[in-house]
Amino acid sequence: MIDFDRDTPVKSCCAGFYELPAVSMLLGDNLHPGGAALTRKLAAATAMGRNSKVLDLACGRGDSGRVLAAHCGCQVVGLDYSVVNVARAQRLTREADLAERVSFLSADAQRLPIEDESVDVVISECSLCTFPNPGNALIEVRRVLRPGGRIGVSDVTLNAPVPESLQHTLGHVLCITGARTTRGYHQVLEDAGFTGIRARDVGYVLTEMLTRIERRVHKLAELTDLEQVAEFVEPNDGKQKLSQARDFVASGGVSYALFTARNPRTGTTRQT
Amino acid sequence: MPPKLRPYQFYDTAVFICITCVRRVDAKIVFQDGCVWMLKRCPRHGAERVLIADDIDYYRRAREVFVKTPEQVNRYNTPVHYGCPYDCGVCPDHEQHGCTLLIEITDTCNLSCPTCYAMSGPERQTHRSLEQIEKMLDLAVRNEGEPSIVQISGGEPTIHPQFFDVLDAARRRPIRHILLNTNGIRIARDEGFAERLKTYEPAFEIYLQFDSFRRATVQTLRGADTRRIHEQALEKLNALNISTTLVATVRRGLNDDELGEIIDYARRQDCVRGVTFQPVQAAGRLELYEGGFDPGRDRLTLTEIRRGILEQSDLFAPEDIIPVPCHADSVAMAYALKLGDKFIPLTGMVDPDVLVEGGRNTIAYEGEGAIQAKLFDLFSTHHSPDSQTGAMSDFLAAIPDGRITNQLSYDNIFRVLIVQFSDAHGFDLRSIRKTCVHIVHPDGKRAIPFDTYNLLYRDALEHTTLADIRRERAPAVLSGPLSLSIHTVADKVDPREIKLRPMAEIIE
Repeated sequence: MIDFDRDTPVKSCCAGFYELPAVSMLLGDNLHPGGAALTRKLAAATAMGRNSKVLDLACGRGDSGRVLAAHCGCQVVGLDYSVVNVARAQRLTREADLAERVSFLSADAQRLPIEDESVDVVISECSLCTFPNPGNALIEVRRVLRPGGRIGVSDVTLNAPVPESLQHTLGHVLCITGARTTRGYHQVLEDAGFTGIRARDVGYVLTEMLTRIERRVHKLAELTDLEQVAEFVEPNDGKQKLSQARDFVASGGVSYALFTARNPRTGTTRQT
Repeated sequence: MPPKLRPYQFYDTAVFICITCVRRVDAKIVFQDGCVWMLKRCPRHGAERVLIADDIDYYRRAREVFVKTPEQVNRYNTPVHYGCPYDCGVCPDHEQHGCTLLIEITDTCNLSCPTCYAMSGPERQTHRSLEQIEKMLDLAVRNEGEPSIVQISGGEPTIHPQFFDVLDAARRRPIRHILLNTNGIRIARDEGFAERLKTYEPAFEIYLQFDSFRRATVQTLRGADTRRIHEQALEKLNALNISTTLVATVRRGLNDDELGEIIDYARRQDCVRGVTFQPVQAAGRLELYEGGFDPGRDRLTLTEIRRGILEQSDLFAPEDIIPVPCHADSVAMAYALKLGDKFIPLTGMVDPDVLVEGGRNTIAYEGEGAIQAKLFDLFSTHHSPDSQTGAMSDFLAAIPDGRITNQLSYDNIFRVLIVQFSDAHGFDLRSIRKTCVHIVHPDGKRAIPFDTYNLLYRDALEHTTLADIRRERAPAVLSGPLSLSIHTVADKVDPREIKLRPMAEIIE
């Protein structure tokens, strides 16, 4: 068996899976759905610019931070629970010559080692659903965000029960364990005191990801017997699962969405 | 050995102009540190690096997504001879009609703002004669048929001795909207002046100068503390409910932190239908900039004003402030509905395709029936309420039965525009060709794109700077417009037809 939870105890789902070499072979470099393109969308939706100070929650190996620093010219602090991730993120960032703009911290999202009101934008990509208590994490986010600052969240939305046959497969590709409905994310942001909450469905990134996996499985099926991808490439079964997953995505049962919200300027609730 | 990488991402080559000699020079457009830069070199005056935008995505979207087939003027008044931008009038190579035509009826002004692009002031005592103004209005009509917007400007137009005759003359012509560009002094001070303006409604709007709430800032931009005047003018305009747009000149470090406050103030004035922000560049007191004006550091761009609004105001989200397709590089817009206390941004809900494919080439979208219908359509037929959670539910809550009623009118629309006119630093020929604000030349024979007018055609410039350049560029043979070569090429193409088989054969 593969231990998916090796160095990320708070994460109960996909993080370990993405670290398998065979998986990156399947997915290419885009480790979270939508990849760098979706990260740039999140940057636009949070009005990030060259003077922005950005906090990337659960930054993994720091890809997004590097994308944002290069693309928006902003300062990024990436934060991850895993020391291993942070070390790797630092190394990759030095190699990319972006260490001046992007730094990393290993810490718990529920207790951020960051001053009050010192950040312009917080992003959380495919990670909010993995926090044991997202509500607490969001209250911490509000503490470090300057008044009027924005949070950008991209995450899996689960709008229908996952079919029995897909639970295992889908759970490895997407963090469905803590996933909420679109309305559910809205609620959790609202409860934390955010205003001007906006949601945008980007379910197409899942379709694209499945297409990419499908294409590669097809190619790899003849060449490999890697146990990590076994569940995908088992004769017929893997392909069948992929097409079931595709149907589930198409039906809107599972989707992907961007949420943006603002830290209110005063105690009062304002409109966006 | 690691590969040698450029510190930037190369995007495009471009034709710019040298700020010193106003001659065309080669340039590169590159992305670096989250910004769009133009690197140019004049063989005589050296290199320059200019900040074009601080938002690469927005810049690219404006250039690549908001691409709309341009409309043409009814008449070209000048031939293509010396090449762009030395033939303005407009020539057949210009790529946009004039959605706003400016008629400057006087050079005189009762202020002498250090930032004035027209160099107007009390020391200049030339009013154009009514006869000349009528000629200029006629040209606007000849060029556009039914001009969408004619802006009466100056100088300060309201101090023209025959000011109301000018308005009457404009009213007599088939002009869809008349805008009056004013500093508000006469509205504030002259008894009965605002009342008389009221008689020109509907399709009449005041463009009222309004830059800042701070004394020192207003002093720097206007050379006088005009705050009380603006307040008094607004009181009168509110009382009479005369449609008004506040126009703020924005300069880096001066009032670029007041954008949110200005919008907030504007939307609480009954008569105000919107705010227009215009960044200004190296004009006026340059000592304000440390070590002189540095176009790589101090230029204020459209995207920075957009970002400033998004940061300082709670009213708009990024998707609400979008490029205006007819001149996407230079104009950004955000429309919203004002319904009582509710303020509901609309533009974020409009698919860019609707704007690019539908409607006329205009910045007056609220007047476009087709666009209006589509905009309102969204509310009744939008299939995914979740995707617009905030705005949709606000909207539905404000309209009791969930449908748009007839009570909505122009008074409910609030518009924020960012209009970036090109200075010599940021002059990009590609973009200039699409300029849709045209200034009618006092000769009554030409309408010249705003940006080139101020660089090359205003007052004596045409006989000095431009004349020199034209001498150098005078072609041996009269050249023709680039736009026409498309026909020449098409004529030479072998018109190979698709041969159809007789119907009988296909049915078999």
